[in-house]
Amino acid sequence: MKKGFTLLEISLVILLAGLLMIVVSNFYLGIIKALIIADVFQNALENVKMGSEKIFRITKYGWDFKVTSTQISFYDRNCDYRYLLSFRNNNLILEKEDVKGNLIESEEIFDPQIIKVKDFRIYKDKPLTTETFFYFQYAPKIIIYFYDLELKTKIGTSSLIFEQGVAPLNSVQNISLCSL
Amino acid sequence: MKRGITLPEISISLLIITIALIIFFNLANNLIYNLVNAKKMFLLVNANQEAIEMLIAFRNKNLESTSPQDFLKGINRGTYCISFSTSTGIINLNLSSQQYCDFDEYAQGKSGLKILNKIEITRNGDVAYITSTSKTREVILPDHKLNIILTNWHPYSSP
Repeated sequence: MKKGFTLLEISLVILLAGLLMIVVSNFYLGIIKALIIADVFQNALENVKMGSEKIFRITKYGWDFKVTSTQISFYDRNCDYRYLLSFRNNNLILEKEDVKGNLIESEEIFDPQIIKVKDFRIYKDKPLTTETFFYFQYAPKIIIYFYDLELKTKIGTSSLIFEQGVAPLNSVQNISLCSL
Repeated sequence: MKRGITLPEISISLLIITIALIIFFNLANNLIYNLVNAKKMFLLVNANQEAIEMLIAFRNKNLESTSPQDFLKGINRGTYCISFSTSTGIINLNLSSQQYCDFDEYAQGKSGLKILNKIEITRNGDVAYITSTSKTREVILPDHKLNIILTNWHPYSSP
């Protein structure tokens, strides 16, 4: 009775096992790579959400808006600080000043490691009247932020273009709290 | 004695290998699918929020008028398109002949992803029930809806 395996049999088995290992490891490495990309992408998306949410929140409660195409300044809800949001160095910079114009803090809205701001524009509506007796007659009823972002991942970039509309709450008041 | 592998043994081993590979493949595929959808969902939510903010502003614009006006400028039951003209600074709310309208500002460059939006309005006197619905042009995700009730808090009375 012949027992054991021949060299050919062992070679074939090793070859098959090797091929199988290559296929499986390729899948595995693909999943690991996808996981890393997903993690970076998720972080970038979260960063965009956080940044845009912050801009939305402070704009919603703002007073006395001064708007140009790439920057906006306004007072906070209690008129204690003035915010200046501007598009500089491929990022959005939010500066906070006290009522005397002293810079208190300056921060980048997005993490420059994972997000590049390619374009940022600000639009607002125009008042229907030339009267400026009441605050609501000249205050902007809608402010639109246009974002053109690039989310950076390890294998490339992904474009994210969107607009954000904000109807400031205080724009319906008779008198600006900050002018009192 | 002749030893070897039987056909059921080979079949079972191939089945196990195939199942393992399918699971691996599915995991990777789901990951990429979720990744793409997270971005789309962000855009849908944002589009709806923007549409609602524009509607609030549309209502608030009445404050600037020098004579009494209807709080939604005569807008009644129907499906509407809302847009903001960056050149004139005017919010346009127009009756829609088609169900959805393009939100052109959300066109995602090369990927061709487009966001569509519609505004449904039902009015009962000085109360307007509004639903903003957004979806992608290629229907992959379920429609995203956002509701708001706008009232005539304006001191002017309806004409």
